[in-house]
Amino acid sequence: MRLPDVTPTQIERFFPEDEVIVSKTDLKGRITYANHVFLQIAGYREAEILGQPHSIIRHPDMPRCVFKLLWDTLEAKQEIFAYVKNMAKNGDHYWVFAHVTPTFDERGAVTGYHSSRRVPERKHVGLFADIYRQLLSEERRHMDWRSGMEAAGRTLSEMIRAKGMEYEEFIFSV
Amino acid sequence: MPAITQSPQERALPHSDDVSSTSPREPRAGFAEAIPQPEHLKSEAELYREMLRQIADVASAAAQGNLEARLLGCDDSEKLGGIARSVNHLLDMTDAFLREAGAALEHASHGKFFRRVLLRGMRGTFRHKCQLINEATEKLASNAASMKEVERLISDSASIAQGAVREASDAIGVVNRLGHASERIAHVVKSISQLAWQTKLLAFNAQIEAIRAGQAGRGFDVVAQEVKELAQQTTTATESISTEIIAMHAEVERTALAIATMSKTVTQMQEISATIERSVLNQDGVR
Repeated sequence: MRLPDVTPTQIERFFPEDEVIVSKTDLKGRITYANHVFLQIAGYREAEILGQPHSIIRHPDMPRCVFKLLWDTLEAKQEIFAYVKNMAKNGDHYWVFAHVTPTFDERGAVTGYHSSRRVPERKHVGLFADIYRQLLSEERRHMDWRSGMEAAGRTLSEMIRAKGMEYEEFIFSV
Repeated sequence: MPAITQSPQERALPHSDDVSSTSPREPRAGFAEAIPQPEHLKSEAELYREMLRQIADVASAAAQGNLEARLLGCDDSEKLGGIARSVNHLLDMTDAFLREAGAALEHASHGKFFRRVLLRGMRGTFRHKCQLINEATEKLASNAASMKEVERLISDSASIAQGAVREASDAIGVVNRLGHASERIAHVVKSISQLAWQTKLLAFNAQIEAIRAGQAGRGFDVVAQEVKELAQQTTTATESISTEIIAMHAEVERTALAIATMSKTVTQMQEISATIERSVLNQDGVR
C-alpha cells in the first residue's frame, strides 16, 4: 500500500506502445483487477492493489475537475477518454491515454468500470500537461477544493467550447 | 491464488512473497478476493490442477459472454504467473476489442464518426478487424456527407419547383388576361364592322338621292361612291382582324393548356422530391 507521504519524483516512466494497461474497478472505484502492465509500471504487486481505490495512482499534478468529468460521464453510462498523468508507487509518473467505460450486465445495469490505458502521443502529453497546469492553478486559487474544482471545470468547458466542440470530439481532434 | 468473479469462494496458490496476507482487506460483494493462504502442504501437481480448474472456470465464463472474470493472485508465482498473464491478456484484448468496436459503431449510428477504434495496443487479427471497422466508419461518414448534399439538392429543387409553379400560375393569369383582351377587341371590331355596314347603307341611300337630284347631284354621287368604297374597305379590314383574333384566341388557349400541363408536371415532381426528402430524412440517424 502506498504510504501517505509519497512525493512525486517527477521522473517519468514509459510502457511499450503495443501494450495496454488494463484495470477494472467495482462501482465504488476500488480495483478488482489490474493487468501485468499496470502492476509493472505502477510498481505494485497485485495483492497490494486489489481492493484499493483507483485514486491510489492519482498524481497531485492532475486537476480534480478532470476526474469529476470522468465520474460524471461514467455515471451517465458513457465512455470517456482522457490524458492522465498517473503516479507509481515510488512517486514516479507515467502518462496514459485512458479510455474508461462502464461494464453492464445483461439488464443494462452498471456493474463496474473498465479502464484501458494506451501510450499517448508525446505532443498530446505536452498539450494536456499545459492545460492541466492551468486548471490546477485555477483550482488552487480557491479556498475550498470543491469550488476550485467547479471553477476549473468551467475553465475546461470554456476552453473546449471556444473550439466549437464537445469534450469527446475535442479529445479526438487533438 | 487465482480467483474469479463468478466463484467467490477463496482459492489459494502459493505466493513467493505473500504481501497481502499481512494486509487484510474487506471482502467485496461480487468479486472474489485473492486472499492468499499459505498452502505449503499442497503438492505441486495439486496446485496445477487447481490452476487448471480456475482457467477452465474463467474460460467457461468468457464463453458465456462474461468477459469480466480474470485469474487473480498469480502475479508473484514464477511458475503460474506467465500462464495467468497470458489468459488475462487474451481476455483483456477480447474485452478491449469488443468495447472499442461497440463504442465506435454506437457512435457511428448517432452520426458521430469521429469516434474511431483505437489501434494502439491491438495486435494481429484484433488490429486488422479494428482497421476494418474504421474503414467502414470512414465510408459511413462519406455516405452521410453525400446524403447531406443530396438533401441540400432536394431542398434546392423543391424551392425551384415552387418558383416554377408560382410562375406558371402567373403565366396562366397573363394568358387569361390576353384572352379577355382579345374578346374585347373582337367586340370592338364587331362594332366597327356594323358601323361600316351602316355607312355603306347610308352611302347607298345618298347615291339614290343624288341620282334623283339629276345633274345637280352628280358630284354628290361621286362622294357617296367613295364613302361606299371606304366602308367596303373597312369591312374587309375588320374581317381580316376577326380572322386574326380567332387564330390568336386558339393560340392563347393552347398556351394556357401547355402551361397548365407544365404546372401539373412540376407539382408531380414536387411530390417525388418530397418523397425522396422524407426517405433521406429517415437516414438522419447516421448523420
